[in-house]
Amino acid sequence: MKASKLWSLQGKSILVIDDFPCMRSMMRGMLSAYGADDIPDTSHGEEAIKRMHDKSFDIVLCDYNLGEGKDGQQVLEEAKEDSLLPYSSIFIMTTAENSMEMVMGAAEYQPDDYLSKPFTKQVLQTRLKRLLARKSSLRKIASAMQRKDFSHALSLCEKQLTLQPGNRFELLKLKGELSIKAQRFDAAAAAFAEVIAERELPWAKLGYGEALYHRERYEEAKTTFKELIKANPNYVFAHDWLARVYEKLDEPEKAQEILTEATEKSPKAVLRQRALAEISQQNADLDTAEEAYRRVMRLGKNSCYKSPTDYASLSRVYLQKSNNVEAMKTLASMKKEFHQGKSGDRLHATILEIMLYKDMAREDEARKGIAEAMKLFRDNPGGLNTPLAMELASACYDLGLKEEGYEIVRHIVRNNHEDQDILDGVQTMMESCGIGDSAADLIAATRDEVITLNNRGVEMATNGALQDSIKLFAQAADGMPENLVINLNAAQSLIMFMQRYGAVPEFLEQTQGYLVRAQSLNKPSQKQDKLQTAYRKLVTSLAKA
Amino acid sequence: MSNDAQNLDFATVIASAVHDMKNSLTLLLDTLDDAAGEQSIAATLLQEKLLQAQHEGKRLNRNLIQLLALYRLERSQLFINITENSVTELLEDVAMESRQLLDARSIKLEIDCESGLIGFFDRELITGIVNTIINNSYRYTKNTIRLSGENQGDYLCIHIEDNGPGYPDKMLHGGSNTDSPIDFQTGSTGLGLYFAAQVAQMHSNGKRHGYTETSNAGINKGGRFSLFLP
Repeated sequence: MKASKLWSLQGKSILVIDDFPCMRSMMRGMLSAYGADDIPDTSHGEEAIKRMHDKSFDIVLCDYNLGEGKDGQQVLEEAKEDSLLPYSSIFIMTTAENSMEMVMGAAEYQPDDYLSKPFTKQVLQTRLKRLLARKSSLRKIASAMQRKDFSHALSLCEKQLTLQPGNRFELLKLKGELSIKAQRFDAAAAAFAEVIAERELPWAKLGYGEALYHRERYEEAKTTFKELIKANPNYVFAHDWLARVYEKLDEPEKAQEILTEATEKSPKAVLRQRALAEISQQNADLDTAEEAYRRVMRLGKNSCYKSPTDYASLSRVYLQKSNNVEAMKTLASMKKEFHQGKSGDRLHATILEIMLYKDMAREDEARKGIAEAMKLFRDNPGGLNTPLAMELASACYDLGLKEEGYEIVRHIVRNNHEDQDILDGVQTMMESCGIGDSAADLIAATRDEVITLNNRGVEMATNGALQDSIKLFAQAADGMPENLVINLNAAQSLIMFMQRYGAVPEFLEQTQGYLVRAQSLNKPSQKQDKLQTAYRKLVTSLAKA
Repeated sequence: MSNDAQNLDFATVIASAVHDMKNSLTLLLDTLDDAAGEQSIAATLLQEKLLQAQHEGKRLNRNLIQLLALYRLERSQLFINITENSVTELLEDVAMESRQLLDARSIKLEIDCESGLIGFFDRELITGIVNTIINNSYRYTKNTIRLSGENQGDYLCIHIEDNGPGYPDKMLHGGSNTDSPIDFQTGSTGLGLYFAAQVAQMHSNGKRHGYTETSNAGINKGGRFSLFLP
């Protein structure tokens, strides 16, 4: 009883989202009765996301049904996608539905808890108390996850499991998920299998199948997902994974069939509709593809999943159906939707536009598009990722724009100078454009340039000119955001500097930026693990100082 | 206009109506909660009336939940979400919900459950069932209600018992008697028990399914409701 008197929400920032004003003031009343003093509220999903961008919240209470605009699930998805909700924060979905079928299983992200209306002050308190205690026991793991240092998070998780905790299943789930992120698929399978041995819970079986998939054991994965669907026909994630397995097994018709079934069960999930659209386009089932892309656009309108690719793909479906009028209309709405967006999106949309004009043999417009794309690229080279750059370069060469093609190919090689698959891809692309002769030289020369630059930076660092090395790598990494070696060396020079002169917050933040970027390239290496460890030590040393 | 009406999905209509009603209920119950907790109200009589109103509000809410769930069940749209849960926490949560009301009538509520007991079930649905049964016991018990949880063989077992006169003969049954004819003359109780049996049946583990049992093996031969979950 004593503990409950001491328990307070004082100092916690809490965002309340509900479209019903009385409900908001009631919830704020309940929360302030427990000492909360920082409780902004809003009725709109869009506004909620804006607030979360401005500042991060310890607790978010969000109603599922928000009237016009985003619903609660979309708020959750967008917040997670934009990294506005670290693992340490709590997201509670309040809902007037008694059970969770409305959202359960249909979505990529799950809230920490559901609270069904009506609920009393005491119920809210009990739930928050438990969640806060649970989160606080996972505090260290959460902060490692925030740094995307998955191998450390994993070892913390394993350590906690040896203490025979009450939340063993939760930790095993986390262990499985972290193992997948750290690409340790055997460990992931083992964690999920441990749960299954005791109880065949759907998420455990799903995770187990996912681990099998990553280990390229597709037949076993197929059996696992099929069993899961048989026992839980409405567990749509299993459908998604089974479809992926069928694609790997080169059975795209079956993949389409299973995705059709899944989208009927959960018609609101954008990513699932998109998967259906893509697979049916691949299967030349243009009517299904058209319908699915239309649904993607309608559903994605308020969501973080909105992408110019969907417009371009739909436009291409229309071209395949020889419906040029609709193709142009779709293209026009893509331009309208994205012309004021982020420069990356604009570049993306422009490149897609060029490709469509090429398909329609409208060369003048395609050329105009290339000029626009080059301008956007030169303003912000970091915004052009490798797959799109390949498309752009090939379009340039097709239209005889050698200079521009050359510039883009250099960008690709600079970002991937150690990735043989991509370099081979560049070679093949240039050969098919009839300029294969110059390809090898261009690739080799650009690669040497990067190697020379990198060696110069490493030499500076070894000679103790750490500040010069930091500057060189920072500049290099700006222009080559996808280059693993450059990003890791940028982190390393900063780490070496701090190891010598002591840790400083700005440098730690920069280091983390490079390490997170390296992590997102999904090419784990020993060097990366070592740097993560060194970085962690510096963080601790700063905390102690 | 008439065309639109024909195209309306009844499930959507119910869902949105329930959504609205539950918002109102939330506010109503919160107001009553505040009022009933107000120390300055001297008149015990008023306090008791508030608690009674609160009790009816909660009953209304449970009925709404059951109605919607049963409608979904019939159309095979009711899905359950089985998770790992602490049984003690569940029992403490439901006890807390009704504590005030029971206190006012000097009914003792006992919990008998090992603290580490874990169960696999849909938390929302099972909470709803236990609440309904407590509400039922509240009307018939003399002065005690006991909640208990234990493992019995391969099943988790939750009992709700009281020291009232016990269930009438026609309501006594054991096993998974989900399709026994319901006598709606008995009021909400029949619906509640039917709903409980349906939800228990939906909980499965391998080939085993959950079931409910009513007996008069409660305190001093009072009513005892048991929920068995695989």
